[in-house]
Amino acid sequence: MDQDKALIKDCLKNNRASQQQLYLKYAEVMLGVCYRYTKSITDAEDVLQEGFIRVFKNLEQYRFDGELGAWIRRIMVTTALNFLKRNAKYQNDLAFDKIEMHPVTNENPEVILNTKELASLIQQLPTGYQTIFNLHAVEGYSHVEIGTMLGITDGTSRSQYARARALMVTWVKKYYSDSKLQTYAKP
Amino acid sequence: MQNREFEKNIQQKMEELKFAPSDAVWNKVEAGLPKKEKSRLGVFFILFFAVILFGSLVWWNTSETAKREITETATEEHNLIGQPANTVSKEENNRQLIIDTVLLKNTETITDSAINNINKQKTTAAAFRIKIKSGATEDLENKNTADNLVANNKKIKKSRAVLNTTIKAPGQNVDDTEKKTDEQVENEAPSKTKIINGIDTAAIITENKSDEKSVGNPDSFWVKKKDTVNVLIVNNEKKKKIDQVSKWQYGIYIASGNSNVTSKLFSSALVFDRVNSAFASGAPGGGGTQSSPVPNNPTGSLAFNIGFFANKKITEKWKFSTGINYVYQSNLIKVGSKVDSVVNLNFDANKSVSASNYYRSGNTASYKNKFHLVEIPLLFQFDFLGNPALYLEAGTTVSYLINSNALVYNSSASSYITDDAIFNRLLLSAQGGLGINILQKSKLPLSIGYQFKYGIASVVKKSFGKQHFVNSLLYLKVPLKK
Repeated sequence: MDQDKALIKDCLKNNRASQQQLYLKYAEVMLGVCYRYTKSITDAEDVLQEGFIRVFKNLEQYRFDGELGAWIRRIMVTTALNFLKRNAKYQNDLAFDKIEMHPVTNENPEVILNTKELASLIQQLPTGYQTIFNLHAVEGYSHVEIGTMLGITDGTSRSQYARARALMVTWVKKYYSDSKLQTYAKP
Repeated sequence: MQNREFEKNIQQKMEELKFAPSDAVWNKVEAGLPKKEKSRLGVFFILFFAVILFGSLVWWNTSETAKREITETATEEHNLIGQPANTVSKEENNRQLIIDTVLLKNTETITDSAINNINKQKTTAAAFRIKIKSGATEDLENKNTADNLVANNKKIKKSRAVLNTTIKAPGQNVDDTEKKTDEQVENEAPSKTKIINGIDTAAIITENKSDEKSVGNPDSFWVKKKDTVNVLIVNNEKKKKIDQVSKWQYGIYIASGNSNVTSKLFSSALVFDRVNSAFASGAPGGGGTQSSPVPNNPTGSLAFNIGFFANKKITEKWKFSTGINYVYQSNLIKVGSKVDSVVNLNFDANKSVSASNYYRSGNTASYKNKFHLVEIPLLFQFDFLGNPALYLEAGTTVSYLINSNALVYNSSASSYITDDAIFNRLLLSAQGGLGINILQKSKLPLSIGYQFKYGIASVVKKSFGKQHFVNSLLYLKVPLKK
């Protein structure tokens, strides 16, 4: 924390070496965050770039009242949402229907996929589902918060999430059974 | 209650998700960050040195004027006493007392005689400055009273000095002086004094004789018995003439008026480049395939300057004028809604601008482009009419842009954006104008006039269009010293 403090102070003085040090410290994790919200590593890098510019330009607003990583992560998520909203490639897919009926799945399958496989699976969700799944399941935002962030009702958010979760459960289960089959098939 | 085991699993796995970004990402981040503060520090250094330079100029000017007065009086002495000044110097053989400037502001008795009569002297000299030279220099300063004069004379006595002085009151002619000296001075010691007629207020006193060699401390001065002091009074009319030709006049400069930017002089063409690169990374509208709306040109708004000026007369008709000013300029532009979102716009192959917000094209809001500069004008003034004292001026101005929030237009994104990286900092302008000197005989002489200034260099870099400053100002110059 103290190291971060010193680093932040130097970054606020517009010290380029310190800015690069801060960037290198968090870039890999944050690219992972950006990757989950986009459909390609190139788009994720675009979000990362914009996000870090925003981090450095708004660094004086960081009040040292929480983890710097968490603060940067929030900026990355907001930047990613803005990116999705203004990018034509994602805009159509981001439309949320207002049907608030949703399948109820309380299944909790074992997640045996590795990190990157799981991230690829999340990426395969339609953009709307993908966004809400990331915000709720991974970041931990409530549906009310998600509603505010995306300009939708919390009901819509719940509905979208339920559908996204149902899809994910199905895919994870399928992956699980496929991998089991493969295990049994082994001599 | 929903069991969140699935979510927890996913959360844990996703915490570990990492990818190494390519090097290009940091390069783009770096390009989007404000330039290092070094350049701003440079401005403060420039400003600091400019102020020091200006101060030194004023100081040098003041001391130089004093030196000129001494030189001039020395020449007068040569002519009037009929003995070259350097001869005096030789004769004294390192034992010279120069009392270099005496300002007499009163017309009453100004008499000094031999040291044994010193207690009798009555003087109303307003200010009496004595400078003694002998190897090294010592300054003695007297003010206003005869007591001070006596005190200093005691100092002289302490140094074994004998001082004979006769100072003439203003307005006396030679003949009168001869008489009045006889009347006023009691027990006057033999004096070799010569007094000039037609005198105003200044005098120089020079010891021109001494008999004995001195010994001891070279920093002290040596004046022996029977030494006399010549009083030489300078015709102030002549002095004033010298001053007028050589002296810097300095004071406060204030100007206010209208400023705008233009693509070229007397043109209403668009100041923005409408053929920015079609590629805009993350730009609103995403890719620029739609037809771009036409951006608005800025309209004029307030400008004001405040600073110091310094004038120097080169010839009877020509003056050189310089100074240092803070300059505020602004103009207005119609824009659309503001979007608080990070954007990275490409203007051409090498120029991209990142900002945390931008303005859409439109006419719903008015945005004020503000420019803060420091400038050093270098102008020549020509007095083309004696009465009234009208003058023309022309020259160039070197200025440094300290800060600006001015927008540039990106056609592919149909958006206005600003960033520190878009500006040229060092700017050159051509300037011309007309002025008049008024109240020249009063205590507060003023100069008022009109100035037109055109920026030779564009304030934005080539990739962002052409924006040349056009300023139209009324100004007032108040000299600090007449």
